[in-house]
Amino acid sequence: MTADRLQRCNPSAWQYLGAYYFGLRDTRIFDPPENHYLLAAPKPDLSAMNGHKLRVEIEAEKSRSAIPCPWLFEPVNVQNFADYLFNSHDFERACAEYKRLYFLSTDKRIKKYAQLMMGESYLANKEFKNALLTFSNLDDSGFIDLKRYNQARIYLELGEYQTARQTLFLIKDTNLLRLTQILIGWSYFREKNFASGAMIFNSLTDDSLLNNLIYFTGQNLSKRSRLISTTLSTILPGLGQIYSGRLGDGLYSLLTIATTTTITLYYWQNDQSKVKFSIFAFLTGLFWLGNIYGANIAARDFNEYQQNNYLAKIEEILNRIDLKPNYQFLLTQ
Amino acid sequence: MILFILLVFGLDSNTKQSFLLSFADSLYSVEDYFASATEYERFLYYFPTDSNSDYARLKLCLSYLKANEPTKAEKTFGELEKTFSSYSRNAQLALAKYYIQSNNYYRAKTKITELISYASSDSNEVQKLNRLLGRIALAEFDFQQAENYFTLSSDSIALKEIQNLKRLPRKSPMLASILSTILPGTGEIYSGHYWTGIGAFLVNGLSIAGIVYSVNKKNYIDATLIFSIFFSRFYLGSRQNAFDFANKSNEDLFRRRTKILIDSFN
Repeated sequence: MTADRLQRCNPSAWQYLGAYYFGLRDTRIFDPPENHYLLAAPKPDLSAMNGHKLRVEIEAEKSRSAIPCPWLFEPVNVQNFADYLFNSHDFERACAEYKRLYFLSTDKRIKKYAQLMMGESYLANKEFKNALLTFSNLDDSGFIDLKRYNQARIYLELGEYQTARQTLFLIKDTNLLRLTQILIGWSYFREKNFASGAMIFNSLTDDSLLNNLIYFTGQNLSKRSRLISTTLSTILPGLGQIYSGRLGDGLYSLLTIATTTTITLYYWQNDQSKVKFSIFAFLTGLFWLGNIYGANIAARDFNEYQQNNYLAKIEEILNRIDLKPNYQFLLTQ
Repeated sequence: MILFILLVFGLDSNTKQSFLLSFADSLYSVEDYFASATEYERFLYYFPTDSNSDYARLKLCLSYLKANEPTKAEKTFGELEKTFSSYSRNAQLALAKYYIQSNNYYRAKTKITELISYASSDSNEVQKLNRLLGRIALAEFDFQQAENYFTLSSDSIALKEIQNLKRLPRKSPMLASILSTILPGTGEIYSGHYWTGIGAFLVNGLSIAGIVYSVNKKNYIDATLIFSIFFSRFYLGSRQNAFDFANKSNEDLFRRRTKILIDSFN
């Protein structure tokens, strides 16, 4: 790995900034080794959180006596202000106001609205754990599908695509059908399973915006085989990198290994003690192995980069959709 | 605590407006800035055209700054500016001070220059603003500029200190670099890094010895390898180190010395 990193440390690295390297530190490219492990790091286990005993966020109703300015605590006023905060994207404060609404209101439906909006505020503020807990606390009666839908949205954000789909498949509410389909498709897209994702959107062709997504089947996505890349670099150092679209790295590796090989051959003939020969032979071997490793990683990075770009194009469309269900019906009746 | 504040401030006034505002003010006074910002927001939401709304906007801006939410504070300041309120200058000054605290000197300078350009003939206020600009120049180690600003604000103590700062012995990065070019290691020693200097001298000496030895043995490949792998790196590295160390030593010295003066402003 070190040998691979040494070879990748060349002037052409600047070309790959944003594609294969991310971030700068002190005017240098910042490239932590964990980006280049052959095996990806294990994901944190979320199942522990799901089994967690649900924390009741809000205490039970307490007495409402001795309120000095009752007008201020009228649920409808609190709700209006909370909605205003939510719409002006001050989600942290909105969440606090929805908690207040939940506490003050005696109407079950408004209480439910407050709870749902609390979850929405957490979600918008990217506090996924709290959002999940809030939605999970939701009373099931009559709202089971809404609860499932919202839980699935959070699973999608947390990268639990399987769980998200499993939850979404249970939804039967016809009002949520369109949003559910979108989320299922999105989860496939996030998994880089573009064909399945595009297929889901085939059934939503009446929407002109979503209609664009059926063409993102991933067929025209350019791909590099890791096996071919590795084999090429085994035969000729740097060839795998060139195959994976990294000309600079490939040429630099070729130059490095060609130089060390030449020196090794020179010492094979001119060094009686063979000490220098051994050192350079070792170095050549090390760099060559590093190069093979690098070629494998380069092909993987190429594929990831292409897929991420592709996904970004898809999400540009998907992000325009408002995934928040309409909760107004809870207030009107 | 909050209930107590509610009772104290809430019961003696009858109107909703003053109740809300006094509650917000009391939260502000007990330094719960997150909550006070919410209450000022609430006041402005219900009574956007109240006679006290500009005051509430100023306090909202201040609360946001204290709660470390500068984007929202800027937004509130923008609303305050639209109403041509006299409070907008207070808000702008608060923003400038916030930016100074968070080392965002560029923004702070823009705010203060704007304030100066709109300032009335009140020389006292202009002096205060120039003093702030001087403090920024000081933090950026621009002593000439700082001297100019402190002259404008006629701050004799600060001016005296600036004279001392200008006379401080400083290391020349150029000289350090030249010294290390002539004899590797000397530049680092000049900049105060003795052990690095001695180390640089030794590794450079050893690689030169290696090169000379190889050339004497007519082993030119070895000599080239030692030159390209070791010597060129050590030699250029030593020069760069000498330059960096001299700069860093100056900065450390300035930081130590200006800290006392800057602290006196806060």
